[in-house]
Amino acid sequence: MVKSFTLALSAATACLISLSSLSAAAAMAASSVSGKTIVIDPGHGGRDPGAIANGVQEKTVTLPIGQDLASLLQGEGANVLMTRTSDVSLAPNGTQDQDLQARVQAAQQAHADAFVSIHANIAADPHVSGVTTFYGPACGYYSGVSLSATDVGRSFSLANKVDSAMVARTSEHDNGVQGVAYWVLGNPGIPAILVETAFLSNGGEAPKLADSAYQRLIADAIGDGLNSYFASGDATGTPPPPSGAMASCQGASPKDDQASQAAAPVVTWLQTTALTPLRSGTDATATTFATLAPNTYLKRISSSGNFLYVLNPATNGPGYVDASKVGPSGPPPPVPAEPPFQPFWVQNFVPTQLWSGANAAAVSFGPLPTWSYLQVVAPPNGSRLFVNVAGSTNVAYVDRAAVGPSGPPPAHQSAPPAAAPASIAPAAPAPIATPTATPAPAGSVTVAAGDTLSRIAAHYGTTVAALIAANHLPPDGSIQVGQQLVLPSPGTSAVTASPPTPDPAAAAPTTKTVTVAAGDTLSGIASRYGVSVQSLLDLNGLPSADLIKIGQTLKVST
Amino acid sequence: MSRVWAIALTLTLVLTACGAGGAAPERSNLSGPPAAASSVAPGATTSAASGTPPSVPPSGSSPSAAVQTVQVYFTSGVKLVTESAQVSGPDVARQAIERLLAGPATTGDYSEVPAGTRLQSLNLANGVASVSFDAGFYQAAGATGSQQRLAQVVYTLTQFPTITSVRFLSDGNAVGMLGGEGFPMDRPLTRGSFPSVQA
Repeated sequence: MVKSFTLALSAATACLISLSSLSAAAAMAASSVSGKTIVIDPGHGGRDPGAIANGVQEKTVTLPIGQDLASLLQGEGANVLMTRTSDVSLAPNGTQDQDLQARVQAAQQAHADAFVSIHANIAADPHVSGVTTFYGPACGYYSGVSLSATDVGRSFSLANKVDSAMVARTSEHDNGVQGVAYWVLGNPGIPAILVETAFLSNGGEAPKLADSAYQRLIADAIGDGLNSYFASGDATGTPPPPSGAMASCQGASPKDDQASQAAAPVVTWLQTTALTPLRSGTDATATTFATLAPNTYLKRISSSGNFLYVLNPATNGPGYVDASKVGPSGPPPPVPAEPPFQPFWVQNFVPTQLWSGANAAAVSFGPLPTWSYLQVVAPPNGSRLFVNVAGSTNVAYVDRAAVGPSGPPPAHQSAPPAAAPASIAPAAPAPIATPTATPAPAGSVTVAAGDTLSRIAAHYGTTVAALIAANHLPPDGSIQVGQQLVLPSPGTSAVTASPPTPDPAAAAPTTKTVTVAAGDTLSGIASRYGVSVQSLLDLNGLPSADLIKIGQTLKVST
Repeated sequence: MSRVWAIALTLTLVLTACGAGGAAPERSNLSGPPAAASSVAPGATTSAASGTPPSVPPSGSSPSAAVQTVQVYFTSGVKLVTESAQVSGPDVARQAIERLLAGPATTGDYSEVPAGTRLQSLNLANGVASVSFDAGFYQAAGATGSQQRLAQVVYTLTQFPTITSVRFLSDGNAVGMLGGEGFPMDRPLTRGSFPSVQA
């Protein structure tokens, strides 16, 4: 069950190991990490041992803590990825930069909900001890990235919760939460922390760090902190960054001598000038994640030879692009918010089916009475509309071609439906050009190919003369495809048929009885009679869809 | 070289005017930022930073009476502490770094700078001190150790009012970052680059 992603970075290849979550429901007592994607980064590895003191190497401590944390989080239902599961560098033939960048890239590609880098500390003074937890400030990273206030605020919150949990579990000295632009904390869009678990240089702490029970205790503590973070509103909210964490962008760490005087732009924007592969590395063998269209906006993070490491803001996906294929740009224009979908009413003017889906393979639920009121409750989807049938709990698809515009159904109880409200108009004939994008006003019809004025008049129970009069048409009655015609209103013109009113039998559902046969399921019965499973459960007082027996009789509303 | 020399000379004069003295080594815990800078006359900074040597030494001071007290930064626990050191001659900044590389004189003080580190060069331009150490200085340390190591150098150099930031070099080349955590050092560092270091 171990799935491995391959992430080529320059000449180097880093394997990220995804540990699939356990399916056993037993251990999942509503942990707040459940369903979260968490990247665990055991610090150092391979030729980089990290700190060495009192005979203990940092890389040999960070890995078992990371593995303990991984099993713990998996048991709680989290999706866990580890940047390494053995004693390796993430860039065996590359540089330290590339090793660190691979760790960031792991979190970016996983669109992780949190990134936790595990380390052990060292100081020249052997008395120094305790826990230190780092979050990343807005900028100052060697990789060149910058973080939003939300990024910094969430990382700060996560750092505080993990630091508190570490001190609570280990009773060690708390050196506090600190903001430092360590490379791996420059992780845009992802709450990221670096935990310095204890000091290898401290004679008391080094043997503890090497002890498997203590390693497990640290993993438990980090797990506590992660659960506490995801249980809080901070994980989805915008907790405030600590004071100074955003201001550090200007002046304090100038990129060069001149930058301290002239405030350099924090973000460099580029645009592609041609079709450009977005690669996982800087050579021709690197995987191509995507091909970017010309004029795609990219955020430059760093450069590596003839390649630039960039972030595609549209997908939040990082990768490398050939520097010759991009040019300088300003930031992308703000994307106008899409107007929210507004539900609207239609009626079916021909007998039709309800469908379980929008595609040809969908199952049909038996016939829908003509002139049913249907509320379109989702944006259009191909040739079918997703509708809620008035007066029932049926939510299903219906063919666009079978319905036309309508107002809402009349109120059943408050007033007798003596006359249909003026807003209810006859439905339009098929095909309807764009009923959902710009629903035709009630009382109008769009001329389709093959339509004639006499056919429309017959369909709507009016006359050619009335249509010509209402629409100021030429005397010969010529019309064009796409033309909108006003339908003569009942009060003012010669309408011979009144607009439809809902069939009382359809509006007040009746029930019939069905006997459960071998092989029947509730959903099968629901589908057969065009009703929802929930309506069957409600009508028959059933506790669960799993509990029907052969020979049992069920009431079905029709 | 003559320009660096001139700046250092200016510094000497500035420090003379401060009237610092006392027996070395003398150690003190710091409670706040730049001790030396605050006691220096503002005019001295301007003149030194411009690289223009004063044409006439201020009356009452003698270029040869150049025994100065400077602060050298070491560590004790998670904090930076200072030890006072007597230096003489124009190149006080270089001498302060040499004292730093020699290690602490007080029991209970430590240095994060690896033993045996050699100073390759020290130049000053526009307030930025470019200091080159051999590769031994850049060997990995943990999060606390690596930050304190850089901070020791930055704090020691920026006590001089003519130095506002420090660019680290190795064999004369820029260094991008330090250690397996990736502490950024591809730009001149100031005391503000170490918000978590207590001094």
